[in-house]
Amino acid sequence: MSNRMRHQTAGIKPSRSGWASPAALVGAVAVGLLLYFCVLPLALLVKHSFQGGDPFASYRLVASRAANWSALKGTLTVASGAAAIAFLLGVPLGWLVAATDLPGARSWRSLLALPYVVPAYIGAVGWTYLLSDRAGWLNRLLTEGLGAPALPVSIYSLEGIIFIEGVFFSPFVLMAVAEAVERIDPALEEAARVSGAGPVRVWLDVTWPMVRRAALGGALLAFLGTCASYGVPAVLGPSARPPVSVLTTRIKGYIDLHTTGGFRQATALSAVLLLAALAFPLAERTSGSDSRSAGSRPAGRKPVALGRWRTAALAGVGAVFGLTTFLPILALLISSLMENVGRGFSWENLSLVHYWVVLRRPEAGLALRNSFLLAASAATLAVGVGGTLALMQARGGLRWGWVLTPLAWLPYAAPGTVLAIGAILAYTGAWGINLYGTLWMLLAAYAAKYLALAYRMAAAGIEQVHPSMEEAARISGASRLRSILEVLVPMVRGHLVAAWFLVFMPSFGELTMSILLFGPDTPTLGTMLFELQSYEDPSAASVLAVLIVAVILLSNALVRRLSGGRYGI
Amino acid sequence: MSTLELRALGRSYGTHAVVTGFDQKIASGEFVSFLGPSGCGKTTTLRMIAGLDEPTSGEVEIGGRLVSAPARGVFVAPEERRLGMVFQSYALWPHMTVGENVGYPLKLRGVSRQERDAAAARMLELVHLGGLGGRQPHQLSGGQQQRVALARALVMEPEVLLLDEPLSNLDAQLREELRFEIKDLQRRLGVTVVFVTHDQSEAMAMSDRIIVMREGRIRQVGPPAELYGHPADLFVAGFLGLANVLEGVVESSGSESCRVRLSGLAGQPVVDCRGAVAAGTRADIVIRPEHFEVAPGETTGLVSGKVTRVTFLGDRVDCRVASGGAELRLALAAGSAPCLGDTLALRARDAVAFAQGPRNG
Repeated sequence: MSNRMRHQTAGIKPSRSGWASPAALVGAVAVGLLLYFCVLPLALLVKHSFQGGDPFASYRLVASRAANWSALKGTLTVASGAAAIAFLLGVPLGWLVAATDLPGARSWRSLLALPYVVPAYIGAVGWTYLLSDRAGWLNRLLTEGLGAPALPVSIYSLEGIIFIEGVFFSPFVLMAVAEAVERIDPALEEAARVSGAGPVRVWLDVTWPMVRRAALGGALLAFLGTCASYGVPAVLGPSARPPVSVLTTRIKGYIDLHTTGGFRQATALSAVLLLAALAFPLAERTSGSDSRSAGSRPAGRKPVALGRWRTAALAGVGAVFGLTTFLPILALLISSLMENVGRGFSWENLSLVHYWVVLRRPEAGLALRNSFLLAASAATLAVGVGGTLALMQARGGLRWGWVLTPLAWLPYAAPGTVLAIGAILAYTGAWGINLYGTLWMLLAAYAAKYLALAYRMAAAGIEQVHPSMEEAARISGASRLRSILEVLVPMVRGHLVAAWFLVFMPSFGELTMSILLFGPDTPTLGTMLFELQSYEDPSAASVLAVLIVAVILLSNALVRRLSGGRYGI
Repeated sequence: MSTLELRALGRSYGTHAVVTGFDQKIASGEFVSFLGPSGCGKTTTLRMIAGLDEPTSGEVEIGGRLVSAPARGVFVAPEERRLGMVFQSYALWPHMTVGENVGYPLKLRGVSRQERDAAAARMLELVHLGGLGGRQPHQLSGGQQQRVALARALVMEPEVLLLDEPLSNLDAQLREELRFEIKDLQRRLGVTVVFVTHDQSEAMAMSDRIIVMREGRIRQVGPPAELYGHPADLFVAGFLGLANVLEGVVESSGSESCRVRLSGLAGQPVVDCRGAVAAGTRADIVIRPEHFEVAPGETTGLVSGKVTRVTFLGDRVDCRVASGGAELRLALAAGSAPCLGDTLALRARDAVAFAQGPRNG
């Protein structure tokens, strides 16, 4: 490969090598978009944080406030706790679904990974119905139904935030472990058995050492993901006693001041949070998720027989799924269907009135339209640009081709809050372009953020096509562009469709960046849900939550269908 | 069909030269093989002819048309060279039927669908796949896929047909069958063929001429029999066919031949060799296994050795004989097979001597 990479660079003028041409133009546009949308915002953010006579003034100011230190402590506490929960849930579950004869292992794997596609803040909203101080249904069941002494288990607490983040990031560990288990050559474990080790011994001496790295990588991803998370602490943190503050909510607070000073402190805090991105490549690599899209699973692995533990394992897996994922989503569905939440469960109280009320509001129609339009456009843009960049990297023979990968990953690794602040800096007036309050602003942020997902999927597709496929078309008389469009693209179509949905799904319910970037005319489902939840109408919020979850699950089902189960959850 | 001329062709990556000074004229309708071990530059040279790789020096001319000449700023894109090529992996497009694969080059030239289908069917008939145009490539066996690739490469009557190790993914029997099929097709169509292979028996069976390459340079060019009988150096001798490589001291020398006393062997081994090497110097001697014969009753000028292994191969017997510190390989007629442990007196019917220079074997 390295020979091919060097090949085009030996001083050959593009006009003669067939690289001028439309193909080179498309490539130049893709690189231009990459630099403008992925690199510029973050570069400006870092620059801005050092501005002024004393370059460290913003940092000094930020460091002088005790509230910022407690936010940092909050972020680290929540992220460590969530990573620990994700690890403790993900390791046994990942092993159970991948290595054992657990009944319905494949389906459980999909169900347990659901939080991967459902936004965590929606889970948080669901939990508010179950475990809010006195009114939570579970709390009432415990106190009134079972006569337990007052049990003030509240989801509005530090522990509640940690729990939800841990649950929602557990799929990172689960999938990393499951795939690591599947990569193990069964002969290694069999050799240990033959050598005289019992099943437990084999697990400890052979299996675990080979999945440990992936599990820790997954936990690190959960840690970083929680550091970057905004929705859950924003929904639950302010009402907790004492209130829980984290860096992302603190940054949002500074932005809400609408002062120059506030903005400068927000950039300084963001630059600190951006440090988390540095650990991201390590987490990606060790968790093995950079090879995840390959989609091939070695067959011939004999599942470990659980024997008499089978029922217990099934019950455990079912309980974890029910308690972590099913229950909050069910709570959302029920509350969206209850005419009056205060009146409790009864057939008379069942009604579609909230759907009717919410969907009749012009704002809701606008939000729905915006979210669809933005998610679809972001997906199309990301697939177009990501696919082109992946192609340039794989086939372009560019000496600098290797930089494309880290640049494409940069916005994905950066916390959404940070990317949004960067977008505000980059697209409100810089070079005469002001996108503030327009859909373009949101589109730029979404496409940049999720470009990496499309890029990785496209790259995995291209990797499976031998270059001789296109070369055969060239020899047959096809131009470079035509060999790509008529040979390569049809061969990677499945990957491109999957890539489109991989961007569409997180964009559709996006909150973290939207909450900083939306304007009066550009609400999205996420921002509308958040405002309804916080200020006026929780029932209406659960209607939107149900809608978001339904569209995401439908998209996911579609991906699985189209890819024959290779992609999606 | 066209002539093909490569003039001082070179390809280097930075300071690393992959192909150097490749100079060769290939006549119209000729079948020429590039033969050499992997990494010798044969595939790079083929790709430079195809336009899939760009030379860093020299020129390529196809049918009198200059297509690559970096010094003069000429580079014709592969799609404009009117070539046919069969890839090692066949590179059949999985999203097209067999017929569409074969018809694709015509489609790119604006040929109507009807004519395309007719031409594809005709080509498939020619490669013995008549009626399979509607199949998907993956429904065919390896040998059939190879034939489809061949049909696709030939459908628009290319100037030159390029074959990049097309037989290496097939099993032995099929490989031999396809060798003759390709050769037969080439004769009938009269197309100029450049064939890249690392398999010397393929090259010898099919080629009008073989170009033996090593480390990016041409070592010898000629018809198969000439290369086999008159290798230019020890490398060519060893690469084409089996060879016993021995050492000796030249006792006397003529204009075309010399007499050499072999070292390290038991007996009184003196052989007459082709090749003039100065008397008194050391020489490398190549003796083909089939050029040894058992000579009972004679005593001088013979190698004596003990049979260590006998392998019956049907038409002949492959013997290993230990003599002194060396092991000789013999191909003897099946009827005259010695037994394990026999002591033989051997005479070489033919041998070639090479002056020992800086070692290059």
